[in-house]
Amino acid sequence: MDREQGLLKALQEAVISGDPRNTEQVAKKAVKEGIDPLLALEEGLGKGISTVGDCFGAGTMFLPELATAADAMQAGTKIFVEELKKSGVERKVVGRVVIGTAAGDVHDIGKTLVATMLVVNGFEIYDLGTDNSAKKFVEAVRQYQPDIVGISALITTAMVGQRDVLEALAEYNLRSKVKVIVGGGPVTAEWAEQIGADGYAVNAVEAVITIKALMGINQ
Amino acid sequence: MTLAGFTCKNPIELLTQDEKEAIHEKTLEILKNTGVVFKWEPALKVLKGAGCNVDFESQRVKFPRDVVEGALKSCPSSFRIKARDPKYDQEFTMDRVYFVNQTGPAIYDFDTGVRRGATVKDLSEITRICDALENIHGVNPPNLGVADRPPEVGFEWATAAMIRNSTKGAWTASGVFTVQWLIEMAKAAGIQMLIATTCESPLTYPADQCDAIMRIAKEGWGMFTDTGGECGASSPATLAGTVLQVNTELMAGLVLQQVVNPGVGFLRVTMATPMDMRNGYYAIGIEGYMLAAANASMSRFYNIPSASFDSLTGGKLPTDQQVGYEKAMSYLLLAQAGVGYIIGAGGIDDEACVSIEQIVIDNEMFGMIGRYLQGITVNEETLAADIIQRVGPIPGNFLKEAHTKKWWREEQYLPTLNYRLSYKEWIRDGSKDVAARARERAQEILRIHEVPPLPEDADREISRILEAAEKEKLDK
Repeated sequence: MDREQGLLKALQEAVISGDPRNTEQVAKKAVKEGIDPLLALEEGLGKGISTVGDCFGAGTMFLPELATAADAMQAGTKIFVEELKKSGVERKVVGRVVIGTAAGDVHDIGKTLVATMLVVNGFEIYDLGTDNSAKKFVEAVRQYQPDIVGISALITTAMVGQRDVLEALAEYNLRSKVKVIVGGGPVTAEWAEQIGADGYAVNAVEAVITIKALMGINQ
Repeated sequence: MTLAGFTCKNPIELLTQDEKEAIHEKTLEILKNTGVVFKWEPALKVLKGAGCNVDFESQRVKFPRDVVEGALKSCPSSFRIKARDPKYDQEFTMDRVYFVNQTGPAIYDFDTGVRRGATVKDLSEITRICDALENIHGVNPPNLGVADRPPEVGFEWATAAMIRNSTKGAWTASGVFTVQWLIEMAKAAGIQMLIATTCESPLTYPADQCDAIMRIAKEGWGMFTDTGGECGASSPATLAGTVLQVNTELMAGLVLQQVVNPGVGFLRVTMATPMDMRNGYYAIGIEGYMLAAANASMSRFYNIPSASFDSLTGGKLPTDQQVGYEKAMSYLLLAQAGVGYIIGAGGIDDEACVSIEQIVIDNEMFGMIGRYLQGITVNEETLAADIIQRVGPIPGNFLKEAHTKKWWREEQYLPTLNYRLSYKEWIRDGSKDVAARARERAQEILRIHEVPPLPEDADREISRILEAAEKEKLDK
């Protein structure tokens, strides 16, 4: 029991210190020592990341800490998810999100902040990076079967790429299977409505709230 | 002919000569060892032809020292951009300082105080106001998205509205594969435009921007290249590191431009600003202004003019003190540092919104800064030792002196928006704050200021280009 508590605490601390490599090692060690992967995910990594999230909210931790903690969280999660797969146990996640920047736009930061904030809130993220064609989004939706697709655009002219993704999803009969949220500097709620997106958010914190609302998750 | 604009004779330096040399050496090191990505095959080809080490697979270009030095050698220390009215030609030199307006997708509505998307009519009015104001030396399309036109052709419509409504020197952003239409429009109006091309930090030139750099260089027009490291996010958290990265990115763009057309003018532009680590927004403020000043220092090191987008404010309304003090600090510092082209008039809320009142207020700030840049003239006559001795002590006074009559107007900038009368008179005059007074001025300008229209055939040609751009982009 003490040993289990010790492992959970080590996992929490690894996430809080934001060191992915260390988190991976601690996770591997915990697996070797026979920890329950679900417990490790929730009470270890999960508690660590929610501590970081709380500190961020309280203004005692900042985005560099949050971003590295999210990376550590994902590195550790991978180890335990593999263990779960071996035992055939299904892991419950809050939601799956495919996220990326629209075609013709190489801006990365805003989209990465949204992804970070979603990881902190327990979502599983598939980050496609920048400059993604509509086809790439369609392929990702087929492959990962997400609940949510998030499309970012910072350049005014790349906003059209957001509309292209929505049209492509409809064309491939995938539109009803996902909720689509758009964001980025010049994007407005009116634009989101005009192109038929399900949601819009002005920043990363709002994005989490919007996505949770779209998925009917109580906040 | 005297051209519009101010002159900065004795710029302040944020970097010492040793520091500049260190930054230059590190720039060459990064360019040689790591290089910069250009996501455009034709750019890779010309850079390879010029002696760069190019990996076509990763689109990475590494720059030998001699190639960089060659570009620095062929780049001129001044260039001119032809305006509709020759007195508004913009001459970018090592000591000119121009103030121009800022762009943003929304407008703070003049009459209702509501913020909304800007229409072509708004863009035309904003440009007309900039055209009328004496200390706004050139014009930018006030909004690069137009609410009443398809977003695909927002840049084209905004640029057309600018060309049609001002005879001042024009700037525009190149957009995504839009630059060919913008160049055509400028040619139709018989002008050149300063067209912005952008490096995306860190160390990446997107395909459309490479295309734009090459097209503008081929036209032989001086070019504006900007980069906007966001300290701690897309560039190092340190200001020095960001100055270095900005310098490296601008140098890579300069090489591409000079390889395509040696001897064409280049404007080194930064919009670098830290990220606010509490929320991910731009940490608008003094650090960004310092980065613009430091870029001006580096630009002097190379004898190439500089510009900046960094005169941003986070404030939301033209009545908000935050707008006033952030703008005042930034405009004055940048002008003192000799930044050659300072973009900012009318901008509020970062780059999200344009306020007409603010353009008028900023015009007044520019006037005062222009006065500062003139400095203090010290000579026998201005020292006035003889007059002090003749008039003083009390009860003598200077009001009736011929020296006073001659000199006071030379020495004082006469503001027209500032209120300097007593409180009692201020109440009598309607208790108006500066934004209210600016609004009245703007209304007056819109009522009386006329801009000579383009020749009919030029105007028709611009309409044809807009239609052609719309057809090509929307039928895709």
